[in-house]
Amino acid sequence: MIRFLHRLRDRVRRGRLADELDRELRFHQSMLEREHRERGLSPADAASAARRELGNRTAIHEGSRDMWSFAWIEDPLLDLRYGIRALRRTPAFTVVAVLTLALGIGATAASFAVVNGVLLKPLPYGNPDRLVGAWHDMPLLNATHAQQTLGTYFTYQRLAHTIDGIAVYQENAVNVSDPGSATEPQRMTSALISAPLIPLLQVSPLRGRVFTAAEDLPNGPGVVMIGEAMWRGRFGSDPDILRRTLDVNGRTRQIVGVMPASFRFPTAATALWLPIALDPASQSAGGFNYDAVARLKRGVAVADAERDFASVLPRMTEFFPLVVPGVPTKLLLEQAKPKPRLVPLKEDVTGSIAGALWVVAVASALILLVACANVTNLILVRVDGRQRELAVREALGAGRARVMVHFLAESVVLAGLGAVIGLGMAWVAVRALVVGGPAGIPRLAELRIDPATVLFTAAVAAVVALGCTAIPVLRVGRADLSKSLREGGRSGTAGRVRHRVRGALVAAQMATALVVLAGSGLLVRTFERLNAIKPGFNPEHVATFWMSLSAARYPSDSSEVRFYSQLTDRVAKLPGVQVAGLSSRVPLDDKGGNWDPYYPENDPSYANKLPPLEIFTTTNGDYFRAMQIPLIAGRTFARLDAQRADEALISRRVAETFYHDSTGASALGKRFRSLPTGPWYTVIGVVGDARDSSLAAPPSPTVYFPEVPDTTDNGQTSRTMALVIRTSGDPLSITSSVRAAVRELDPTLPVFDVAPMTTVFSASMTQLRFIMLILGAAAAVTLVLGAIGLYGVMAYVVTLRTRELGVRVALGARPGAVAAMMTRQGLALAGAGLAAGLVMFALIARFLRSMLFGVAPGDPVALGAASAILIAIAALATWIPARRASRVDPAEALRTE
Amino acid sequence: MPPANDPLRTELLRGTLDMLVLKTLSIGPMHGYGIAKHLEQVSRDAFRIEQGSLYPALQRMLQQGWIKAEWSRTANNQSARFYTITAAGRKQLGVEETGFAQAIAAIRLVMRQA
Repeated sequence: MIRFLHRLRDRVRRGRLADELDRELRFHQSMLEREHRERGLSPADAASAARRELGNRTAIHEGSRDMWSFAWIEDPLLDLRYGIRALRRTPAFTVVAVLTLALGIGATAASFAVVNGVLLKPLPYGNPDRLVGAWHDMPLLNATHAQQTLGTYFTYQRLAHTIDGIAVYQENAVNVSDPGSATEPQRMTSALISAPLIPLLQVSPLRGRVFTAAEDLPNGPGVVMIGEAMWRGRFGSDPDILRRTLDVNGRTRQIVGVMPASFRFPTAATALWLPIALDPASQSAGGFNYDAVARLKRGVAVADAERDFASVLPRMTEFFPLVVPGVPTKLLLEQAKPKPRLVPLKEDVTGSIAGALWVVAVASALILLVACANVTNLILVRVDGRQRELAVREALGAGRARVMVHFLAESVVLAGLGAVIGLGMAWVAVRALVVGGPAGIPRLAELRIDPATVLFTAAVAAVVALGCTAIPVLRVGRADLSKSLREGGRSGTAGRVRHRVRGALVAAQMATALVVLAGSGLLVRTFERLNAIKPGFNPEHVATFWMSLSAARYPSDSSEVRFYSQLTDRVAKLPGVQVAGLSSRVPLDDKGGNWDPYYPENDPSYANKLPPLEIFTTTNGDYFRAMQIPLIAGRTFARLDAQRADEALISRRVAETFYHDSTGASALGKRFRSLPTGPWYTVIGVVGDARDSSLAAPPSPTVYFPEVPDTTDNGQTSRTMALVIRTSGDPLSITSSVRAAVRELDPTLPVFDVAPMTTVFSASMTQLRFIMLILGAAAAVTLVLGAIGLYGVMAYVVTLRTRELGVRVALGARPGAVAAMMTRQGLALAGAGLAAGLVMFALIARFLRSMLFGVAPGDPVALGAASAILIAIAALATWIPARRASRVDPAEALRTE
Repeated sequence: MPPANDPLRTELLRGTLDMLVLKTLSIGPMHGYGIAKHLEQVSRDAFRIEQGSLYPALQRMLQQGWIKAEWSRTANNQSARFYTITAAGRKQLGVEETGFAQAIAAIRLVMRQA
């Protein structure tokens, strides 16, 4: 240790030590000179004799310098310099190897950034590991992820003793305008939150304060919290922000707090927060409408908290005897048997995307693997080419370790450059994902190439450098150097072992390429199947325009309905518009979902039992014509001003469930209600089923109500509706005229989420398309790299066997036979890879299962197509060198040796 | 790349040189030239001390802590670097002398039998 420190000290003051040594040597020389003069030499002769005697000054310096430095550090640095020099002499090899590695390392770095940022990093809240999402499983109602009701929320809040607190929230959107301004309000993403939410997450407002309990009550004061982005943008970072107000849905609200930009709850798009204002004194528990997050007490396990929740849930009946008027809470608990389920919040936030991201991560790891195999192969060729030089060096006394270190240095340089370029590529990829990535990836806005990613990339590069050197170096270690010196030329290369190693590498590449190719094949098949599904409506030539009427401007049902019927009348007359429908819900769009029970008249089976839930949608009659949802029986709604409020349409599934009749005829004229004590509705028609929640899920049973005001309780009007317009041409060509029609009727009403139905349709497959795209790219890359690898090996084999092939041709082998022989060899490698790939795929295909629809993981079409593509590419990669082999000129081939 | 060395010869030489230098310094402080001269004289010119070995050896022994170096004036007032043996150096000298004696004895045994 002391020696090490001395050495370190000496290394640091190496310059001064060298000066000292110089002085010392000068002294020595002067002494020698004097000695010679005393023996009688002339001064000039004495000086030269002394110089001679002292010997090579540089050698002395070098000998001493070794003492002052760290050979084990500085030699590698030297090796790196040699490595760089050697690589610069072979730019083609260097560029190919660096780019190949950059591709692999870049893909891995990008997917690490995503997986780490989305799945692994802790959530940006205080003590995030103790936060859980709170749900209910109700298998009997087919609901696995039911939220909280007002009743369950307050019950847990009052009675659960394993938690520090629980809070509820609901995502929604609001119309926002500046008080007193006449400009068109903006539609903004907002969240309704209960007062304890932000303290529970342990996040502090940037300015001001959070909501008080008193503000979080029905008819509480008008308050709002805004995000930092709105404060900086809309309010120009006004320091007096807490004195400002904002009109939200027509009501003026006082700004009480500003949340920092890093607070992205529940989503990154959330711009403002409003009190949810649930009434703790309510008699009714209400519907399962509220998302919830709870904080476990320190040291409490999730399972213990779940048991605690389950044990206090029955006491909900004490505070909230009814779910809704007519449905006792006791009945709900007995019938639906809701089972509390707590999920760690991070899992809750990322659960939907985790599978997809892991698939992407695996795909990028496979790319890296194939890239490494390619570079290893390139290095092998390089080592072979330098066999003789290495033998000479070793004969001159270079230790084997030094020779190996030299190659390691080269691949360190390659991997290092690859990592730098790869990080650049990863940065671009992550930016592209953040800016244009598919909706529905949580925490996307937090993504960046952070120090963890850089560190990870460095580690990957180190492993890659070692990995790519390992095989070549082991082989150099084994090679019999004297033999290669003696044999001296190219005939001294390529033993059987060498071919085997290289062949195995290529086969492994082929196997990997097949796995990725088959995986993306399955997704393509899934995509194809989903697109082949008849969704029950026709998305072509349909545009949707959403709007939400504020209670301030439209205080009554009839004012709402008057607006919507005037609007549809006007829009229907616009050029290019065929039909103008109206609906509170659009299939495959997640807005406006509303599930309620269906109590058929005179059906005793539901006297003491909860009926299954149906989607309740409010429409006009033209909605069905616009969407081309067929009418199966009866009639649809009349014009809104002539339509009765107590009539309804049902979808075919509802008719099958309750009237056991898929023609719908026997449902006509039947009555039902949505509450055991509610008003009755009469079924006037049955329409076709539409895929509502997703293309992959079966159609949801749906009940349609007319957008008609009613003085009785029948009214099912909706403030938020979509114009669903069938056009004769491009659906978006009517956008400006529709907007103008809205503005004429109400200049303050924002129109939002304007989209052709085809976009809504394909947006429902965004995640699938995203994975398909990534896997497709991965498949292309692995395939190309694999083909290059195969080509390289075959070309090399042909070069090595030129002489043999020349002899064969000279002895009368037909060129075709020679080509066939080489092709066979190449295809044998590809075939081995194919077989190995199929086995590998069989092992991992089940991880893809959750993403597939309508195809089995072992789908013969996908696997067959992948195999065919692989073999075709392999044949091409082999054919080029094989053709060259067939054209060997025997005379020349024999002369080259 | 360092030139190929016969490890055995190198070790023997190096070890011997260290021992001889330490022995010389045990008489008193001396500069590099003095050490070389002393060894030549005492060995009646049997040893020709290569400066290329001597100075690196001195550097190494400085690092080992066996000797110390100090600039001072020679008798005829020239500035020179004087080396002094340390306690650790004396100990090392003892070790090497013992080792050397054993090695010589062993070599004698071998030579006698051969």
